[in-house]
Amino acid sequence: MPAPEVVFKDIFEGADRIEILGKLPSILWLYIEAARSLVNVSIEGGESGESVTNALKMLSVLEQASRFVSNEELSKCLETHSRMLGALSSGELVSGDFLESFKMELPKLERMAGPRPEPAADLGLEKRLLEETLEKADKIKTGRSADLVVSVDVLDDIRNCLSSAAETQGISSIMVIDNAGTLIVHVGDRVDLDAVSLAAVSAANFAATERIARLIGERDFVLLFYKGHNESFHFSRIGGEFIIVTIFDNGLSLGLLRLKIAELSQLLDQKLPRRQG
Amino acid sequence: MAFINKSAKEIQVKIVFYGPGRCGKTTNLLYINQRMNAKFMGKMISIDTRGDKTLFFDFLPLQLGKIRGFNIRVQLYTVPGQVLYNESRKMVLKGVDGVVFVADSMEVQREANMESLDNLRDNLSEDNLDLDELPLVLQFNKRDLEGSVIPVLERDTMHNDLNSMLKTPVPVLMASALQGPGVFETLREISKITIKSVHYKISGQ
Repeated sequence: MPAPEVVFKDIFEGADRIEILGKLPSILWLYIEAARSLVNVSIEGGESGESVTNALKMLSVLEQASRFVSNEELSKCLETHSRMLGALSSGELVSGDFLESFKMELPKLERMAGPRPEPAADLGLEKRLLEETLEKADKIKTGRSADLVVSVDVLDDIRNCLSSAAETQGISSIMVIDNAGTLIVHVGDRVDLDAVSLAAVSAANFAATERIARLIGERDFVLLFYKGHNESFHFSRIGGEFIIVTIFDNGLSLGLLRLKIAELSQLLDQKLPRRQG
Repeated sequence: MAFINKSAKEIQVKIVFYGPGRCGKTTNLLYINQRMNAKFMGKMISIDTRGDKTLFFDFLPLQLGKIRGFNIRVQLYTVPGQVLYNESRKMVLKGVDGVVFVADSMEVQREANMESLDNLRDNLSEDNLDLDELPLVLQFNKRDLEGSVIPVLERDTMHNDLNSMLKTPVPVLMASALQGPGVFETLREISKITIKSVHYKISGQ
């Protein structure tokens, strides 16, 4: 009975790239300011350890992001900065001349960063937003920020669990999705089912009911049940990240189904990966 | 499908911000939410993936003063931009009175903008609405990237791309939702057109 397919596709594919491209100029400005204050501190002979680490972090984000832009000048410029910062962090070559030449490199980047964004009225908020951007940009370096990695072994394992549950008379489909609507595993005999759309709408539905729950002081609803004329839906949470969606015919008793799904979700909770970051 | 309450002397309209993923629809709403006087605004509700991408919609109710003795209430919605969430987009579009199409000015998003406008037309037609008849404005967002290393589309290019897909050209507004320029101008423009169209419909009946 179980369908053989494994659908696990990054539904936000490409979205992070667009986001980081849009934010690249503001990160450039952030780096320029950090680098400038770093040089000033170094000229005065102050402690620059932490500032170097921060600047290096921003630089590595910029280097990754610049690959999406394919602008040679930018890549070269960043390379030079990386080399100079490397020298600075290792404590070598910290002469006045070196710092001056480092400072001279900054206007090049300024030109590429375009018009300087006006400082926001709320500086605290701006700083927090920038920190968030940086943190996220740092994750995007790996190629995607969703950071949900499910190995083939785990997928096979989950599919086996779902398959045995799907053998219960009356269950036509079971799927595991994540909060964002990514279909992780689907097992079932409904060939006409648009499982990918169903996963996306189910996650949206679950998130909407979570809002309802909050309006009445609950954190969320752990299970939802929709009764149709012939078939019904059962949604249940697995941990904080995943949702198990079951389609079953009305011949199956809801009590039995809930029992089965409760067992299954306990089992899957141990097997499913945690989101990284 | 505006809701007109004659006893309470109130007109309620629904405006949807539409556009490709990551173009700045939610950012538009966030900016309005931050800057508008709280007295004229309800609570903003976002159904998203942990404060990140919109999963279902963002919702922000506003009061925009009075026209001919009627209080104007506007409900702003955004749709999820990612291609996969089409079913959710259709749900949000139900009963829409006006649309702000937020186009991404980045060169890499040129195709995505056009695809999204096409998708808007398809989704509206499923609800028996015609994009060419609906109050619509185009917002070219992320103009703050102009002059930076990121390649940005010219206004005319975007205008040609998108307005040529419509029967009659609609107003275009340049914006930078992150910093704010153009956001309120867009809101003003779409409200004006939408309320005019609602008024026309009422008086026509």
